[in-house]
Amino acid sequence: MRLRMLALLTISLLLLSISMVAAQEPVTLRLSVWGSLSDQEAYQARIDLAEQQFPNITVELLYTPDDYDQRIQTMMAGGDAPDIVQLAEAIHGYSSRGQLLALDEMIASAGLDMAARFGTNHLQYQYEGSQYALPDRGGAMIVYYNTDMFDAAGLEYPNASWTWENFLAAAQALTVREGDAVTQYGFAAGGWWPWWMSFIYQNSGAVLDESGAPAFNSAEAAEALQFYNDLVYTYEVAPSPEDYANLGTNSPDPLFAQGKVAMIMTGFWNIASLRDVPDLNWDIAPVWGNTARGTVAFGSGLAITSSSAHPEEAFQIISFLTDEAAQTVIVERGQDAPANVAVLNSNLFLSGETFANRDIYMEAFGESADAIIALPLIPQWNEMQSVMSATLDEYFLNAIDTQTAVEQLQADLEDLLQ
Amino acid sequence: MWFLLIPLLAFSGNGQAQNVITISVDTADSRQTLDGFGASGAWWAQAVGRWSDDNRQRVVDLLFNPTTGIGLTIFRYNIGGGEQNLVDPWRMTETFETGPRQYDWSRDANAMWVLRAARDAGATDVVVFANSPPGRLTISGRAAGNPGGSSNLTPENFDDFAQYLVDITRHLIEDEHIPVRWISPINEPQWDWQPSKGQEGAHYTTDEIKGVLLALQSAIDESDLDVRISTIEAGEWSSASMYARVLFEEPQLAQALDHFAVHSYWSSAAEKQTFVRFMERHYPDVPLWMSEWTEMREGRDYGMDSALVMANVIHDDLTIGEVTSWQYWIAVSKYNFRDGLIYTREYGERIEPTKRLWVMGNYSRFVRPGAVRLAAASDHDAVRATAFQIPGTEAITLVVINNSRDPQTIALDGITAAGQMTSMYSTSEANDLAQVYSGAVRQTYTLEASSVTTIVFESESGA
Repeated sequence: MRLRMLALLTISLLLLSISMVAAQEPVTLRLSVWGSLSDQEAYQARIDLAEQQFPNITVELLYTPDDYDQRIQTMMAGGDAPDIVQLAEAIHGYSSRGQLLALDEMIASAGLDMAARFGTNHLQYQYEGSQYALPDRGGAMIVYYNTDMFDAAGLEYPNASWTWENFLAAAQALTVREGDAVTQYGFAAGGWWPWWMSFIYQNSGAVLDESGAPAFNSAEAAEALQFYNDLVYTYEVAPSPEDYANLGTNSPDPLFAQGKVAMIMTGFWNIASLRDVPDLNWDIAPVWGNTARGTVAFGSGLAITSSSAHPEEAFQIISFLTDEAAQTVIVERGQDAPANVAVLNSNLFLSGETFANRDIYMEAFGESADAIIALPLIPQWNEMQSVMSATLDEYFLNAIDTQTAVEQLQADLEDLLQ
Repeated sequence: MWFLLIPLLAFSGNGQAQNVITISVDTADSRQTLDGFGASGAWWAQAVGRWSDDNRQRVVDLLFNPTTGIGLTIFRYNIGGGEQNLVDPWRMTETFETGPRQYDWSRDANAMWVLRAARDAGATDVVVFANSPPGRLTISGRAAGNPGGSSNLTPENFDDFAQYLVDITRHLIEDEHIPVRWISPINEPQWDWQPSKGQEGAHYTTDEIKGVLLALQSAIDESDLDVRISTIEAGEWSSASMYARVLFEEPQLAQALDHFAVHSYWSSAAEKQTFVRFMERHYPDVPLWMSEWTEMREGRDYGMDSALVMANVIHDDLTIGEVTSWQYWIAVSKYNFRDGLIYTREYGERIEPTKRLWVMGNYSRFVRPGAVRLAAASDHDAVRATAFQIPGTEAITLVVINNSRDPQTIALDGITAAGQMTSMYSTSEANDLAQVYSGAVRQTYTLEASSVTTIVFESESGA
């Protein structure tokens, strides 16, 4: 009997030691991200922390700066998918094809309280009742404004109570002309979807209605697009695509940094871009509304591909990367607003001390929370963007009128979604 | 040799039977007619052109010889603006101009050697392009841009710049017998070119663009040269529609311009689709060229990774963009970057062909000027095919990208292949545009893992 007990004990110890060896077996994961070189550095710093926590796991960072979705889809089709992928609005193009792992069981096994860690941010990464990514980065689109220009014009600063009337009056007062030439624009935006889409929602319109049907043929959407284009071609307070090219750029951000624009709308990341610009005085505010409020929540999540050979280790990594220590690195580096609620509410983030070298109105992010649009994150998100861009490209060049634009948009989206 | 391949035809490397992927070709659905494939001489021809005869000839042959190299037919010759105050000596240029309408044709001798050798090796069509007017004509006095990044050519100098381009073109055609077909006077006008960027460049507003192009067309009309304008060398697809509208709403330019040239840097497939839809709706008869691209990524890569990235860009540009020409940026690179078809070093005469070279050859050696693209489709996302036919012949050429890390077996649907011969040329980690099969038409063909394969079907008489 004692011999048998000893034998069992020996076998148990042997199995335990084997399992411990197995647990320590080196695993290499590949994690794919997009963004700028500074984004790449921030991800690497967080990965370095994760590798310290899990010495048996090596994470290779795959940096894909352009045409991200196409490259990832090509890798997946070729059987060469990364284990972990950064995804945003296009996520359900992946989850609906079975290319991502449903995380529900691993979330439950790990005892991860999604609401406690992420608030409601994780809901956008759910498809047909399953969770396909852990939120990683977040933060609303906000207004950046040049305080010197506002002071010179004697205007109050933008705030959450502003409507289009306040916004337009300010943009007109802030636009400076020398003859026919504009030397200072009141506002600058363009064809990027968060800009024009937020105006539609601010006017109580929508891209898709509650049933998921295209809704461009509404008076609210048409009126919003007309107002948006009028800023360029009627009120002439914002640059046209041609003006951008003539100014040597393709986006508002450098024009704002050069002191040529009073107001722009963009994400958290612009704080890091502006903080060291000499002689530029600026602050941030929530985006205005009209009949409703509306802004976009930028963000991305980390998902595990269904072909990953190491899903459990991959989950350990994404769970760690979205936990407080690794999310704090995002704030320390001024990369973005973190998705982790505890870090979002931390003094480090709210003080802005690590990413803004001035006292800025960080409450703008909190005040935007109830204005965030429920984006139509359908599986055809990328195709929908392509279809909408084709018409809006024409519209924002003033090559077609509003009625033609909304009719084309409605018809093209109906064709896509039928 | 081909019998060695038989075991690969039905089985993958691990012995597992493969699903056969069907490539469908619709010979009744013809698309664009190709002007050819090319690359630029910028930033290397001045250096490589002074190498020893054997080595500089070898570089030229690798690029332009259709038998020993990849058979590019378009060479982009950079008309230098004479900028000599740059950190990187490879980016400095000599200008032929010594004064208004005065030229020293002995200048730029090294790049001229490359140009002549490229012509002799197989470059049948030459684009001459200027990144900037010569310093004499610019506001800053330099060809590296204006310090503020703003415009660098005043309207008073438009005619002189146009005449300068025509004078140089005339010299190249009449004295050097170079087959110049196109003059490209402006490059990526939307960017804020300035000396700190370290290369020649000039920003133009849309009014200035129209002014320069009208002046150039006038100068061409007054000459008896048979050349067309190639423009606008837009820096990306996403903002190209604005330039198309500016150019083609101007009746004189709409008539004068041969095509619209765009660069594929930073451009997604969706952005290409958007621009093509815009062109179809507004200017459906304007051909598109993709006239500059290299992967914008730090670090050298000699292998199939970057070669497949390039192959997929070519594929998208041919199929989504329906471009009639695809031209690479610097053909030879000394940089620590994913550029160049051939790597070298700043010093010495090292010649290091990359897989990008051979993958480009999968297209350029076999898809010759005048080829017509046929509609083609694959039923597998990892395998992408383009098909081409030479009008008046039964010969069909397929270029098939296998993005998969496994070998793949394909079958062809829609190609009437009775009495035809097949040749396969593969670029992979193991092969450099090597012929891997030649013989009778088969039911299936196996693509190597991570490869680009050209399959040529022709009758035994070669037609």
